[in-house]
Amino acid sequence: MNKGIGFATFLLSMFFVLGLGLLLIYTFHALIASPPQDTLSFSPIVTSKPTAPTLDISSPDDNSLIFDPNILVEGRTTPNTKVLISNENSDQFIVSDKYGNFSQTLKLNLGINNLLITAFNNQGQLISDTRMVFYSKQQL
Amino acid sequence: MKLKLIFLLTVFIISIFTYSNVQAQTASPSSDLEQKIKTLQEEIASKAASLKDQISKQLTNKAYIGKISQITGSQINVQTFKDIKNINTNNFTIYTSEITVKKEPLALDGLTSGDYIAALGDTDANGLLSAKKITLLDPTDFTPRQAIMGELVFKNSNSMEIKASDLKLKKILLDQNSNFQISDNSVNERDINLNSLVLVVAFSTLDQPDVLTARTVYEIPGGHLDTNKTQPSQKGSSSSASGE
Repeated sequence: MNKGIGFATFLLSMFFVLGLGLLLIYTFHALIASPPQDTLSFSPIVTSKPTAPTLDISSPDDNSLIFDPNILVEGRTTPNTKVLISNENSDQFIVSDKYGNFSQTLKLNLGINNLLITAFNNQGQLISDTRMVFYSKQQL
Repeated sequence: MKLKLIFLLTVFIISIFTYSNVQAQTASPSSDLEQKIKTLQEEIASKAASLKDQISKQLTNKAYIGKISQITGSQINVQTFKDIKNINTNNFTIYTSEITVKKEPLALDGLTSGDYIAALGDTDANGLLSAKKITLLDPTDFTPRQAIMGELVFKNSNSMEIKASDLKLKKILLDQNSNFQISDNSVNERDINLNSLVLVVAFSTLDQPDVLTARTVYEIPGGHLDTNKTQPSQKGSSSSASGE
């Protein structure tokens, strides 16, 4: 009745315990080390009023002295918004992309060039800014 | 019993050793940290270089253009389109003129308040421009432009009236150089619809800033003036591309 378990049984049980222990350790590690999962969120579709356009011109700087007749006008406004880029020679209308970025290359006149940039929407809202640049053929 | 205890201890040590090895191979936190620090250092160096370039670009090759408001010694104050700028002249400043009446060689004492100039040079951190060259400009070269938006309430072949979002009426003259567009299509003046929303690019002259002449009339199909909205906004201190 008091006969102990055999060595083979003991060996097997030890391997079982070892396996179980390693499994527990790895499971614990996986739980604490894994990055938090993105939770699936549902955002309701809200139809909001069109917002007034914004305008941020990144190029050119105001009061710039330029030695190249071609100048890149670029900036950011609200997405898919009409933008007027006007200089002494012409008025050009472009549309910002889905991120609000816009860019257009202009040909400068010799001397003073006053650039008028205006973003506007279909509700009569607009925002304007100007950039004064001076084009010189000769380096100073 | 003793044998069983020794075996149990051995198994325990082996399991701990195995786990540590696997961890060291997969995670290697110290090498990750070094890599992150290196990346961060590279990013900081790149941003510093970019900032240096940007500051350098902002200070060199500047042009202050506008009307002289005051001359004090070797310093000139100029009212630009947005604000007042200070210009410093020295013995190396070159003077030129685009006005035939004032003949070259022009000098600082040939300039007076009210003259329109372009001062070219580099600025310091406070915005003071050291003029390398000053050009006297012809005031007729200044044709201030502005964008006006509103509902077209009246038009004939010579002029039109626009109701802006502040409900004020603005009269704008038309001439033979006025262009008309509906969206991106060029049209004639008669094609522009009454009561439609239009954006007008209009210019004036320095001596008659209130007389506006349309260069481009752009009708926005489907647009309507929402008078409940706030006033159109303008960045900068000047609402138009005015030289005043």
